Amino acid sequence: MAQGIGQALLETRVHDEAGQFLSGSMMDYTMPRADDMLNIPVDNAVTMCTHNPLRVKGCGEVGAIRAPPAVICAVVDALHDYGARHIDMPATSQKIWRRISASRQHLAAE
Amino acid sequence: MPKVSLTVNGKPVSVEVENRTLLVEMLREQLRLTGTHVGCDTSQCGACVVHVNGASVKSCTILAVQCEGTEVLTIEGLAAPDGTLHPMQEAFREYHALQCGFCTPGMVMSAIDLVQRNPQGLSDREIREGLEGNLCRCTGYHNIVRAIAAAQVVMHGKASELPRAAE
Repeated sequence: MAQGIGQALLETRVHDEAGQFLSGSMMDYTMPRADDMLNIPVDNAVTMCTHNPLRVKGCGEVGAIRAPPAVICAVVDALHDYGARHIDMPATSQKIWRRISASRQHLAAE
Repeated sequence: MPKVSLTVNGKPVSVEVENRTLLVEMLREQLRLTGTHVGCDTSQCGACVVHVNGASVKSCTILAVQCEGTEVLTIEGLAAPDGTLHPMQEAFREYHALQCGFCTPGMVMSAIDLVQRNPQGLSDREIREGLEGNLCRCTGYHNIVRAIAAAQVVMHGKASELPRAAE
């Protein structure tokens, strides 16, 4: 889940125009740290598969795959009043601040 | 080449090193104490944390010659000679605070210093802030925080045994 939340909010590869990799350290790439994470309760929600006799399916990387849509949906929902319908990953605090700030300027101009 | 004399895990050692040799290189390559890991070599990940005179230090960020006359403690020196684990090691095992284990030596050494510096006890949030210099890619930090919270109770003498992790 930390990997998924990191992907949604922090982690990014940046290249300059010449292709030079700019976020080459873990600090620039922004791997999640302990204080970027919360205690997250984990539980099972069982749904039987309907397509095979065993009613099971294989799966892996559940947290890393499901966390980004959950987090991004929450961010877009929180920014709804600022006109956001979409935000590209990673939704960094700077990107969110810019979205809010642009929306305020837009409103002030009206 | 300069010679550096220090105590490592309670044993006096003298090692010939280059001026540029890092403490972690001396520990791993000359003393063959490979429990201390090198993750990033740039002081970001914390896998190389050891104690120098009781304080946690990223051993990729200090020169071996700077450690002349000091007492260095690595992950190999934590357990008692009879194999009894340090309460922090025991807590990491009990609370499943590791998956691949690469960050674990640094996590354990940082955690011990963090707990020793805070005899008043730490909240989960304070533990998370205290671990800012240690990166982990597997665990999501959850069980590491739980292990440290449990170990501090034993280390401060508030319980004789580690609280067991719930099944």
